[in-house]
Amino acid sequence: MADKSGTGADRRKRFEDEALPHLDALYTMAIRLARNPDDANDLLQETVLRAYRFFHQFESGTNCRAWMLTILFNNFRNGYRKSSREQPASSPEEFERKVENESLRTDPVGSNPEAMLSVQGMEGEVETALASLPADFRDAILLVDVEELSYQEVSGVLNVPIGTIKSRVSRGRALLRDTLANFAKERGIIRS
Amino acid sequence: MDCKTYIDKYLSAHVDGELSAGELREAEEHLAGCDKCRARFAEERAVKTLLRERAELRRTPPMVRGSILAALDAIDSADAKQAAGRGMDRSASADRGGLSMRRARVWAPIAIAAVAVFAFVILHGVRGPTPAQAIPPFDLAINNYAQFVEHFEPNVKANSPADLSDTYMEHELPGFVWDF
Repeated sequence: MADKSGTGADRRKRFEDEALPHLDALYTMAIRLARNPDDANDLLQETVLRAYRFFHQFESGTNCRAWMLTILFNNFRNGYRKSSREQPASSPEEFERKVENESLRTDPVGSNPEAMLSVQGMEGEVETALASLPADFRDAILLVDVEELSYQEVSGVLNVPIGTIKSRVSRGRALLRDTLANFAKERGIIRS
Repeated sequence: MDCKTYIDKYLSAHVDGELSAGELREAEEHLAGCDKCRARFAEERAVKTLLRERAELRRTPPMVRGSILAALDAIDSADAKQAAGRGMDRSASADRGGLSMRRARVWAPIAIAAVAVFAFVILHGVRGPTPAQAIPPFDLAINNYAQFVEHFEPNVKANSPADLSDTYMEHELPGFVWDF
């Protein structure tokens, strides 16, 4: 039988070479989505096993991390979103107002990003700032900035139009920038 | 282009390299004449860099990695068994009857043994010295299986597993129903 994935041993080897190197990235994303380790472990395991089952559908040469993240988000939407553990995002209207208020400030915090970058120990603040974002904005930002996917790929992973991705990245990053600058100001890294 | 349009519609995509050639030209024309937006562009890029460099990357716990690899092994061996079964089906088709019956008698105990081995692997782990820990979905599956074994009332002759297999074979049920 002509199987694109080849024999079992071939499939396993290809999967270990192409897919498993992304395990930590998937686990990190699973932790952010599920918000507790047990659910994250289940989500990760389900994602990897599904990816293995459907590995013949993965087109070699395309972005394997994006493909696996797509499965992860699909699993999360199908299995976990309805769970009460997931914090609901603010309503779009509420978020819109918040962003509007932020961007109305002529010079939000007089930030100095280079100073912010040069300081050790902003990891905690980065995580806190990310956790404070509504989930839709956080996911888009993480996929673009951390996973380094293109808007087109993120659109596939999250199953929303590319224009929506563009707007989520823009708004999410504006909010993140202000939150991070506020942290930096509190710690005396930059002046207000 | 005014500053508001640049910041709302172009800035992020500009930093991310997602503008079309025409948009990029417009954006750069605007930045060339606007100090404030140039500063804003630098800030946006710094936030992006900060995230890429400082967002946490978590290591998959060894136990989770181990249970994933064990589950991949289980898929591999189940697939290999199914492929072997398909091969036997083809050879058996020439001589239906005695051979199929014999196959059923051979495979049923093997299938039961495979389930027992799989349950043992899941409960005790095979990779490394990691102590065995319960994995909720597998516990559930094992419990369900135990319940099934305890309460199952066959409506066919069932003195031995081979009897059950023979019945499935006679009724031409697909292999995956009985051939684990």
